Amino acid sequence: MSGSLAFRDGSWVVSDLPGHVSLRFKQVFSGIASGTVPPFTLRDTPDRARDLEWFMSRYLLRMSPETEARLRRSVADYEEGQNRVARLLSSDYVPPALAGIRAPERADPHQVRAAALLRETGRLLLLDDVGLGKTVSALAAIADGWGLPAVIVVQPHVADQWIGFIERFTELRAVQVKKRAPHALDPADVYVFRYTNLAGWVDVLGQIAPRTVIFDEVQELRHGAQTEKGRAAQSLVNLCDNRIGLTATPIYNYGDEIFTVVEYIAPGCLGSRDEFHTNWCRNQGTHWIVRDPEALGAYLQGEGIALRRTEEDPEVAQVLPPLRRALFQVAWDEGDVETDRELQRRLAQRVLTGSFTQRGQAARELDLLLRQETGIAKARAVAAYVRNLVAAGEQVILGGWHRAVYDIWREALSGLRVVMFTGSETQPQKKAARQAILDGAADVIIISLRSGAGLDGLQDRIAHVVFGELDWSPEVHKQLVGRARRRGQTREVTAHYLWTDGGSDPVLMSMLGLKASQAHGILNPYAGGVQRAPELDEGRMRAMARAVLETLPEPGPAVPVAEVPVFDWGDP
Amino acid sequence: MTSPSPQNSPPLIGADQLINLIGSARLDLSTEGAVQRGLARLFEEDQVPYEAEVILAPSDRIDFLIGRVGIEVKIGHPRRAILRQLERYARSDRVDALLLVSSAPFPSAGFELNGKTVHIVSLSTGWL
Repeated sequence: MSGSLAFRDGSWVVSDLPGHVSLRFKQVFSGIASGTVPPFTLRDTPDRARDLEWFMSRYLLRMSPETEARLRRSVADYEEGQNRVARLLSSDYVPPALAGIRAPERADPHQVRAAALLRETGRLLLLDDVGLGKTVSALAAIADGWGLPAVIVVQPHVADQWIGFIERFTELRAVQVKKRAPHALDPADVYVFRYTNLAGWVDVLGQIAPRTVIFDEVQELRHGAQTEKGRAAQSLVNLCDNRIGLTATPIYNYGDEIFTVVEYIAPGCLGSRDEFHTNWCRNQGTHWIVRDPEALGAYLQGEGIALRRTEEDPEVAQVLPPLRRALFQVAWDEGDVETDRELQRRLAQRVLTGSFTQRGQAARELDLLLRQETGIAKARAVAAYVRNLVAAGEQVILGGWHRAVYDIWREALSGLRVVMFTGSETQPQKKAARQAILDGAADVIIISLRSGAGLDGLQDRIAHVVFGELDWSPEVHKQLVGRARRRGQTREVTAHYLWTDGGSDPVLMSMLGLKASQAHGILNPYAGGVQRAPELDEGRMRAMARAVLETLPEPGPAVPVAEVPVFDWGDP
Repeated sequence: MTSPSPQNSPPLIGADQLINLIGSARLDLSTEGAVQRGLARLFEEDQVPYEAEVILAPSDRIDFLIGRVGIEVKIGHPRRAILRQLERYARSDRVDALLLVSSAPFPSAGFELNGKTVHIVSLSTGWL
């Protein structure tokens, strides 16, 4: 015998290990801090018993009959759970027909699979990509009356949308809770709370007696008990048998955040916080960064805790219409551009030579200046392009960034019915803009590249997304395309990228390619959509600064007029 | 007199078709080697007959030659060095046109060197 094992208070306690076994034990169970000696305490997680059993096939540990029985039971439970999950995730699994979805709506196979996984395990972190219908996946699980009553916690601006979904897709009675102060609620199957008012209700949630909780955009809970909503969510979770969290935002990077989120959905699955840090993270400044997000993603999916699908998933590809891209080069029109070249030059010089803080600030200003200038220079061409699409009978989503650019678009699109959905509009104005498109009362909806998240419904009318300005991040483009190319869309969606040979577009384009190809490389069948912790990206700004200095004529008399406007952007 | 059998005369592919083929591919752009491997795989999949690492002159070896179209992959080199190299390739009587395949921003219109057209193929567009 190489030591002893006991089960006490939800933990496995290993003691009396000889030195060499202790050493090996710490290597295998790396959650145990180095420099410590037995007894070791390991929090019980579903896979822990299995790991201990495996260790004991080499080093036998003494245990009482009760401990042994407990170990056998845990191992059997774990293996049975693994088999169930494997069956649900296998490609030849045929999703059952789930009752309760209101005709003519339906839940697609990938949605039923997610719902079935939740019903099987009672916990699911659903990380499906934008546009795959996570809402319907969650509703499909409860539509036939399973797990009711349910509480759904959402961000305030999508609360109405959720009610709309529940009414459209199910026969369930839903109540939206708008106020923070508790009041009498009508009896219902589903209660839709907001992250902002949940805390007010914690003391009376027990009266609802919820069995299932659905956290929409579950990354809201990443700060855990530090926040009021986090504490309220914990009280709610304690009442429920079934928990599902929905998000498409990759949250694998910051260790503490993913740990916190998983604790809400599948408490204990990653061990204690300290064990998690030692097993999965490295320390970077004040953060714990996940060392290998891909591996963590694979682990979470392998254990059936998380599920992520992208459009590349064959089951998804069956129901999402294909995407087409149109790349169109438009001319650079100096006409509307009134940029201060001297300011550009000064900023560019500071980016290359200034102190650390000066560089950062100058880089941001230059980025802003160049991108706005680029947007302006192609604005009229973009408007003309959009006009053509509208003339062909299409409604159009037009994505951009800058007020000044929107102004030119609106002027150049005069005669067409244009509505706005940008950072400057209020919630009611945005709602009206969306409605105008749905009613066919608008031809073009101008959406700020970063304002459209969560916006649903446009897919019923729109199949064309025009990028009048580009973003640094491929994810932002994908997000906007997702407004049109999402569940419910029946037509092929076309993403139109309008770019020009000048300004910031060439650098943006090359950056986008590199980023997209890297992100794609990281994606694997398990851990999709992994993004690295944000880095300081000085390189791209230096490239842009150099380009400015080289393309602007030198101050002074000698200006080569006939020079071919070939920009040397340097190496991205 | 014998007519060439179809197997011996692969369909000729022109610069325009090559530009479309390469411009719509999503290749790993992390290194030049990765792009070259990606292109070779692309040509094989589409059954485009190609020669790789073709020596045009003692010190000039172009990445691919397809018919009389030369293809050079460049990632992360100064523009001037690229132009000098292409200029030398353009002197070869084995090529009628050149394709510069790059993720770096170049003017899309292309240009002429030694009377031969240099087409620019952006590797980034495939990823948009």
